Amino acid sequence: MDDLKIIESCLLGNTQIFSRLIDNYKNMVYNLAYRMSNNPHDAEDVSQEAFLRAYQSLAHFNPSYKFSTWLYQITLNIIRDKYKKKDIDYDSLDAPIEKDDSEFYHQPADLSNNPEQIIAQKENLRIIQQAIYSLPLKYREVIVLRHLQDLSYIEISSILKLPQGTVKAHLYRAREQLKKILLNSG
Amino acid sequence: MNCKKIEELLNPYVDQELDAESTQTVEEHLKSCPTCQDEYLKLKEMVASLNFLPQVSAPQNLTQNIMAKISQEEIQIQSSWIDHLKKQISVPSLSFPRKWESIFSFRLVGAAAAAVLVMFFAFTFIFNTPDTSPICSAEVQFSLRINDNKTHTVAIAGDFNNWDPQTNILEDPEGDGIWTGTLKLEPGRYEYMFVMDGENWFPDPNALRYVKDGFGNKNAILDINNCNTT
Repeated sequence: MDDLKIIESCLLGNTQIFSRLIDNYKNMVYNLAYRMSNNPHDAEDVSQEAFLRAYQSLAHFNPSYKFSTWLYQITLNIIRDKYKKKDIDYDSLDAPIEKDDSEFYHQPADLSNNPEQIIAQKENLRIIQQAIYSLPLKYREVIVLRHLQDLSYIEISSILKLPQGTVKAHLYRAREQLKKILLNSG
Repeated sequence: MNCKKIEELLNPYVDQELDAESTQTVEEHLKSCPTCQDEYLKLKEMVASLNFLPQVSAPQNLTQNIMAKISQEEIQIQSSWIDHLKKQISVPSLSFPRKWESIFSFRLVGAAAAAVLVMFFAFTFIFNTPDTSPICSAEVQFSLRINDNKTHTVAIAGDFNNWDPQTNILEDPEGDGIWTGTLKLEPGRYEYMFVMDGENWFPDPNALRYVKDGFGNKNAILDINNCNTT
């Protein structure tokens, strides 16, 4: 049963069928929320809220868009509201980036089973996740959508309702900032 | 092509979002320019490490918890975007002429759009364009729907009663969750809020205009025109 059929059925009164939509999209929403908030409790709250809002507004879903696009938008709106305050704190990082000639240090991923390496690998993941989280919200959004959700520039631009040029520019700035942050932590 | 231009193309190049022609330009430049080649390798490495972050699984009981909330809290599919402002409080647009309902439904497309439309309202009301009829009745009915089937007291407080939440209590005689009250108001501009159970203050979700109240919330604004004068 495709998304539209489920939505139609739900709007006709079969509200329990909404659980199928949740099952289909919960990992998508939860991953987005988790990478944006860097915290499993917040991620769970945001995910719940996102599905509840989607449910309440189901009659307003426009079937000419993908359901996932709509759900991404709802989820990001909740995250934006939640982190508005924090993002203001981070805006100072949003300063023009100076050219930096120093080397970018990064430990390449090692998939062997040596315990020391596994620990180092976990530490690496933590550092990267922390670096993403320290980005201003608008940069974090493009990084998470591109790398954790594996979306194309076109999809990102329709979710964020931004021109593709702006998405490209944000992605460029976001990666420049990530380089700087990772350099300082390495 | 110079290095500055190539640098701009490196991100979409790594993301495989360049057209064939630009891809070729970048690749040719990289062969002949060690500086850009170096930039490219750094970027590629970082992108690889970002892609390396694993997917996490949603909590096992997430679906169950959400479905439980939907039935326990009687969260309903709403027919209006306005309702989504307040989880449990919605307004059936009883208090204003039907004509305006279409305006309401546009207003909440997004925060930015809302801001633009609030300005639009301000202008239309100031200039009193033929499309919007002013509220000129001296008796104004307020109404509010609360969906949670609990017993509440609902009052309206504003400039007209010195913001006293005891003076003008709304009633729900049918017990259907639709609370109504009528106030006689002289022409003028009034700011007001609804007060639920004596302590929860919230703006009328159905108001035409709002103003910040200075306490981090916003008041609804009601303009009563003097329609007898021409």
